[in-house]
Amino acid sequence: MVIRTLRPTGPSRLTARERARRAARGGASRSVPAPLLVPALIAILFLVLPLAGLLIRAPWARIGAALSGADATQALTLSLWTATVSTAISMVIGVPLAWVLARTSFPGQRLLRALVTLPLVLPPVVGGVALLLAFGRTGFAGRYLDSWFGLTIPFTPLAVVMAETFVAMPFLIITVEGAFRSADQGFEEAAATLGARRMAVFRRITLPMNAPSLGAGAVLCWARALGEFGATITFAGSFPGQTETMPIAVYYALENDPDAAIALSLVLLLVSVVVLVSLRDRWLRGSPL
Amino acid sequence: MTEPGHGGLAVDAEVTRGGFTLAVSLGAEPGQVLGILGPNGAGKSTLLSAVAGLTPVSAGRITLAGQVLDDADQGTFVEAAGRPIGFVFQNYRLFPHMTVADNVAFSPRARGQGKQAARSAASYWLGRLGLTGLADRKPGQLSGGQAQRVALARALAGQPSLLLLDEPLSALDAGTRLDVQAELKRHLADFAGPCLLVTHDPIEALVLADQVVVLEHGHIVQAGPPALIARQPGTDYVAKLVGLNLYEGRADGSAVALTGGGTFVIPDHGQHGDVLVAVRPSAIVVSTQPPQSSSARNTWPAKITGLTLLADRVRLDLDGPPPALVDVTPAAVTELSLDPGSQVWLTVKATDLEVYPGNGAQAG
Repeated sequence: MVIRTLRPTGPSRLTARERARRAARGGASRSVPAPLLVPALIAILFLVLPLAGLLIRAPWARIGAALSGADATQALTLSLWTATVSTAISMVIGVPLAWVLARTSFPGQRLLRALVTLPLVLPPVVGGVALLLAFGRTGFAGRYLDSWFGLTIPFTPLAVVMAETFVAMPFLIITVEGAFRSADQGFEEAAATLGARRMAVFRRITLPMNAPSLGAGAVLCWARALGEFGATITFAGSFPGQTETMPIAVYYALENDPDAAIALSLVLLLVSVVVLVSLRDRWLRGSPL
Repeated sequence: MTEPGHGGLAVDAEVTRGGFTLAVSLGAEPGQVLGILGPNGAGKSTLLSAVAGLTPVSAGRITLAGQVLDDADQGTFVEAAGRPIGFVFQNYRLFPHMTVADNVAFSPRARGQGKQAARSAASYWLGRLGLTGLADRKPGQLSGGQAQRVALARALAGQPSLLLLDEPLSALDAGTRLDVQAELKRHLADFAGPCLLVTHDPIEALVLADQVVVLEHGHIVQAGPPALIARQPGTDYVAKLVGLNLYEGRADGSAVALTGGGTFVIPDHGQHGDVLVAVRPSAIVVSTQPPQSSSARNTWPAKITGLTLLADRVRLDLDGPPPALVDVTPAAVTELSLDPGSQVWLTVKATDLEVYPGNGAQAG
């Protein structure tokens, strides 16, 4: 065994600026060790380069024309209204479910919470297959819709809305449930002592006081619905104007009209940036939902 | 005490919350302000919570004007929303997303009045509490005293037959507290129903309450008019609050043998058996030499264990027996060179010793 003499490291340079920073905030060296710096740089390149590629390759001069093409316009319109309808449906049925999960307790509640949030981690294409098996023309529920009401869901805009709702609603539910759970219930108690019944408390206190979380959940839900691909193409197909949403249009346009594909991708990228900015207080500060 | 009078509140119940049990029997008549005094964790808020219907009782019953609000034996329970109460919470709990006017209109609206009627009820109460100019503000834009008045207006606007106030002044700074206290007293005098006022501040209880019950560890340890409680505290906690020395002892003729050691001689006190003796810290005289004893005086040696400077006097902590807190002037401290460890003599006139019956279990 070789015993080495331990030596302190020699002096290094400390800029005036760094001196001031350390004096003001305290703390020791901020330098990043090379074994951490190199992988971190690779990760940054990996995440940012593709987006840069999208911007570099964008046909800026013809972007208006590419987007105003019939297929692109149809896809854009379809995506916007289906995502909006999905979000509205999610609000109407998802917010009450979030309240039930947050404010009541019953046997099997944990299992129920796991089930309704499963679509968060389920591959969307599996969701599409599941929807097809349930609501398809021969599905166990779809069969009766077909024979009793003559209603066929798959491969219609309704199917698009259902696929998007299935995948996106859990985002709304977990956001709102967390807010309901952590909200100060003192205000609800106060409302009760003032004579408000449960529903009045929900409508006049719980909902408005959790408005920021409802908004964040809705934005998240809408963004997820807008980007939905797997469940939609499985359950609703890709008929232009009927069920071909933007992500599906991008996928097909890449073969015969790359400029349109890039232009549509830029639109989706822009939407994502807007969503991120609108949620910045919740996400970019690294705080949990 | 628990017989419900006409319109009165009667509580004869146990409330168990977690490992804590509150067991009380008390009543409040219409127009009466019943002060609930006690240290933190004594069960004061639990009591209000049970009366409001936010926590059910585990045994016994609560009635208001003869109507059962909660009866554990029969299983009867009126939900909080169905009770004719007004609750002023400790931090007011004003709804932050509503204007002051909407906060005050909330209860009339929730209790079934139309929008217009609720709004005019709100403006009546805002006017009555001098808040008209603040109607369009949000709670976040109010000062502490204003928020307190809005909370009171909101509670009164629901036309409650019972008013509950949880530490109504504790969120205020010392400067505004006295003003708000005087104002609150006026509004409480106007309220026709019974009122429970929870506080840990004896001054608040003295000023605002007609009757006081002292709660400790979930039990009532003393009840009576506030002036009597201030003069004849029943427990060490109350004695400390009102700033008196309290001794437990046994009276035999004019001699009272103190449980903690020492004897007071108090002629004609008229008590027998277990008694409590209270004395003001300023009524005890300190001297460095044994004073010439006289029959009407009680004198005993004591050792100073601590000195604390209060606003305009110095409080001495003395080891007896019996031990005592004594207030002297700062000048006296210098003149007599009083230091921790100094041996001194304490003297108190028999007429400054307040003797009254104790129940043995009360004083610590």
